[in-house]
Formats: sequence, C-alpha cells, structure tokens
Amino acid sequence: MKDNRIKNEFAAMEVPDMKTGILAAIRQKKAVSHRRRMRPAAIAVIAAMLALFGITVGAGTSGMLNLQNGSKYSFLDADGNIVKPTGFHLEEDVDVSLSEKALANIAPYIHLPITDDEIISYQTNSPEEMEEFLDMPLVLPAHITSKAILYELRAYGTDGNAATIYLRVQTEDNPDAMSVYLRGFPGVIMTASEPEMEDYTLPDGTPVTIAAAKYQEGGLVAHALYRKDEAVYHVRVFENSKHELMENVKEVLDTVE
Amino acid sequence: MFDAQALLAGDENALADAVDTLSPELYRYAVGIVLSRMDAEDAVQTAFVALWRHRAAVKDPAGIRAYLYRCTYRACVDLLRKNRLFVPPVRQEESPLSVPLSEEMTAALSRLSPVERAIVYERAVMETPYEELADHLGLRADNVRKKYERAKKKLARFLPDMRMEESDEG
Repeated sequence: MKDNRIKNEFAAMEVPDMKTGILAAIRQKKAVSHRRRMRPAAIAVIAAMLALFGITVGAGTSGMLNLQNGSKYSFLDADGNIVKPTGFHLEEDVDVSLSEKALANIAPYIHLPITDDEIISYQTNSPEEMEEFLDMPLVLPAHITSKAILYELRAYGTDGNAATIYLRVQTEDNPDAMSVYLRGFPGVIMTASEPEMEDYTLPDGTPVTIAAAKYQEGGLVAHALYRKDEAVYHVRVFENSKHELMENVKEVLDTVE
Repeated sequence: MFDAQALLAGDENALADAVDTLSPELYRYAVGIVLSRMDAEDAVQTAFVALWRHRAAVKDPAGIRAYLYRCTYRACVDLLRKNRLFVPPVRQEESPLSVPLSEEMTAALSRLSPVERAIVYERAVMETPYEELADHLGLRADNVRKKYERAKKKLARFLPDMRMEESDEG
C-alpha cells in the first residue's frame, strides 16, 4: 500500500470536543446568560461594541485571566507529527471578565470598520503593563512567564469584521508561545457596518442596549446588554428574520424581573 | 454509534451520540475545505444545528451522515465567502484562524478551490465512492471524478512526494 500523506496528516489531526458547543447552540435559541458585574451604565455601550467583536463582557473568571485553564491544542510539524501544544482557547463558559477600566483602555485600539487582514495591536513588554491594561491579573504557566518578552493584545480583521481578539505572549525561543483567543462566541462573525443598535427598557425601566447583527447561515443574532443591581447582563437570541429577532429578544427582556 | 431514528424523533441524547460519532470526520472535512480550525468548528456546529432544526425533513435515518456532509460543505463555502479566505491571509503560527495541518500541506491545499479540497478529502482520506461524493456536493459523479483528477495534478506540483491511494470503486 502506498503511503498516503494526505490521509496521514488528516488522521493525525487533533479534533476538539465540539459537543458542548453544539448542544449549547441548539439550546441557545433563546438562551439567557447572566454575566459578571460591572459598574457604570455607560459601559453598556462599549460593551455592546465589544460584543460585536466577539468579546464577552463578564463571566466566571473572577476578574482573572487564567490562561492555564484554556483548552490546549497542538500544531503539526511538516511531517504530520504533533508538536508541543502552543495554543490555548478559553473554554466556552470561561469568558473573559473585563472591567470598566479595561474596556476604556481597550476601546481606543478597536475601531470600526476594521479592514481585511488588519491586525490592531496593543503591545507591552511586561506582564504588569498588560495586567494594568486589562485591569486583571494574568495567570500564565511558569515556563511561559520566565521567558516572555512581549505581551500583545490583537484584534484580527477579515473583510470588514473583527473576527477575533486575542492575547499573544511571545517568548525568547518561540514567537508564538501562547495565544489566548478572547472570542466569546465561536461562529459569531458580524459585519461591522451593519449591526443595528436599539434602545429598550426592562419592565422596571432599566435601559437596555440591543445590538443586532448577522450570524451564520443567513441567520441573525441579537445581543442585549443591561445593567441591574451593579451587574451587567447579556442576553443572546438567534433568529432567521429581523422582525422575529427583535420581537423575541424583547419577549425575553420582558420576562426579566 | 448513535440511534438515528431517535435523533430524528428529537432525542437530544441521540444527537449527542451523533456528535461524538460524526464530528471528528466532519471537522477534518471542514478543516480540509476552510483551512482554519475555528471556521471548521463553526461549520460543523452549523451542520448539526441545521440537522436538528430540520430533522423533520430528514426522513431517512440512513441519510443523516450525507445530510451533515452537505450542510458542512455549504457552511464552509459560506464562511469562505464571508471571510474571503480562499488563501490563508497570514502565517499559520500567527493566525487565530490557524490550520492544524503542516504548512506545506496547507499551502498545497490552498492552491485548490474549495470544492476540489472537499473532493480531495473525501476521496483521499475517506475513500468515499464518487456517487456518494457527488451527492454530498450536488454534482454529477463524472464531474467529481474529473475534478479529482485535476486536483491531484495540482497537488502533485506542490507536494512532489505525495501519494494518494486510488481504488477502482466508485
């Protein structure tokens, strides 16, 4: 039997566990996720903008960007062998918590629209400066921090979208020692020029910002953000038509007590 | 393995089993087309979501796998159109859209069209019969055969040491 290099490479490919994400996507048609606290209501506007980039506001990291708990993956070398894992994705439910200060720091580095292939970058040479920028401690594996020479926050654009924002830590011996992708919603790729924002109110009068944008398969997604009891909540609703989308997200919001 | 009948009847456990059983091959298929791990995950997720939402229309339990292949292919093409990523725009190790294949293989595959990449994966990796492959892609079997021959010639230019098994079936 001849050696089939293509077959071998594909066979050696590490496959991520997609079950959780798929089942969540199926159930999330009207999912409501309650996210972590932030303070001023004005932040909701920035938060909505960041949500358009895929950054989730809030979540369960307790104000700490713990890069040791992400899911690891491997790259293959030219021979199809698995090399040392170099990348970490944050787990789906371990979104990054961003404080008011972090949002304010990041906002100037994120503009719309982002051009194709453009990379927006904020770089620091020390973990302390990146911690200051992100306003949270970074928890990195010791073998990374001992050799880290550059900490970089990047937004990566494709065709007018900001597909992903990620933190990259470069070390002396590996220019891509660790990349942490701060992408909260895999699959959500939104067109920067098209999202529509709408103001709404909860039954108790709390103001809500709704941002609607395109989703996969010609579908639509609405992100609704509101501040209540010193916390910011994030509601996501998926639909195929814009009318139903706005109807349904408001229907969900109307149930908030 | 999964209970196809139960899945079509709306059993989420059966769906979860189907994800376990079929997502690895669909993920590899998607990676082979979009050349991006993240987009591949999105495409596979889109396919399963589509299956679940439209399960009532999938009358034949034996047709679930083919349905997922068709959905995955369409999702890949949609993503490529959206992202204009027919060629990976940045180096593999720098991109969040990185490819879990060797750089040489990625470069070679990126020379092919998305449909050629789909055909190469299904023929060279899965050894899918032409008739079945044609059904997945909405093409005629003889057309698929020609495209595969063309794709092999293209790949041979960029992967001189490449060998692909070829059976007489299909």
